[in-house]
Amino acid sequence: MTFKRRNGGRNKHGRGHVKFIRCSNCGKCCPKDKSIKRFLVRNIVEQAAVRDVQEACVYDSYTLPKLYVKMQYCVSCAIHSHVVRVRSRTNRRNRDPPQRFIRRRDDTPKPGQAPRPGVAVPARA
Amino acid sequence: METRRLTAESTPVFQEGIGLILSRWSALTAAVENEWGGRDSRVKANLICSDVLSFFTESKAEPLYIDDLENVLEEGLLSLNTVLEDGSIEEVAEKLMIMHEECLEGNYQSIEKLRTTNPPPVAHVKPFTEDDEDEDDDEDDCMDADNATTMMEDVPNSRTSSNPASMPIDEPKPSQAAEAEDGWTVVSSRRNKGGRN
Repeated sequence: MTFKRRNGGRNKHGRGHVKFIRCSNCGKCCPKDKSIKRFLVRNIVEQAAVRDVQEACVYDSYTLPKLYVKMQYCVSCAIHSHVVRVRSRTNRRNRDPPQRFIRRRDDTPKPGQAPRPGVAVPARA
Repeated sequence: METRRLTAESTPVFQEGIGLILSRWSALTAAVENEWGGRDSRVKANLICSDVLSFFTESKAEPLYIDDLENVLEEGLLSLNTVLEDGSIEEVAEKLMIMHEECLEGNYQSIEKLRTTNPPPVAHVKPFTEDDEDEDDDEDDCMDADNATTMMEDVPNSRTSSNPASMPIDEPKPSQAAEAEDGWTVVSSRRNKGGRN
């Protein structure tokens, strides 16, 4: 059978076993090195409610705290929630940081720069 | 009009300004300090700086769109495994655009102001640990220095000697005794204290 990825879909070198973690979305067990890890930084209060909370705040100029969460997804949840995407065989080998889709305006595309493809986050390259 | 060209003298100043702004970006510094992008998080952060500079210097389109700059910042943060939803990307992109405009005009006041002011302290993001245990140890040291059990003997000694902040803990105790005079008795929620006897 062919090997889909050189590292076998995970980041385990020189080890026999890695303990598993639970997916933060579905609770599935997934090896820690194989899981897709993302750090989320969010405001505790949503943008719409910030003004209301600040008006009701007792303290003057109170900086609202942020919520720091480490999300660990199993592969299924990461693909389902569009954190990562399936890539073609040649694109799988691309380990560069993903390039977001640049919204092009009406003016001509920049001739100097190479056209940026709408490549999404690698799915376990 | 060729106002978009950064002169040879303003480019290094602008580069320094980019570095100053990004070093004051709490989310980016938190990602680097806590190594959210792995061991080479600092290298990746420096890559973001150079990407921003190349966005400003090498993009051929006449108007520089802030959306493209935000995309550059977002990609860089994604290389650090970080997704920011707190709106700080837009703020930082706006500051960078404003600074670019100022550098085009030769106005380096904002960069010099950034140089002189200190960067804000880094938000140390630590996983949530049990804080009840630590507080009990500190308060036990001050009150039960004589009655320290053998199990906790090493820990209280190291804490009282190395933690000068343990001394101010003595102050709340007299205030608590004073409150008892109102007819209320202060019951501290130290569950371990009862268990140690």
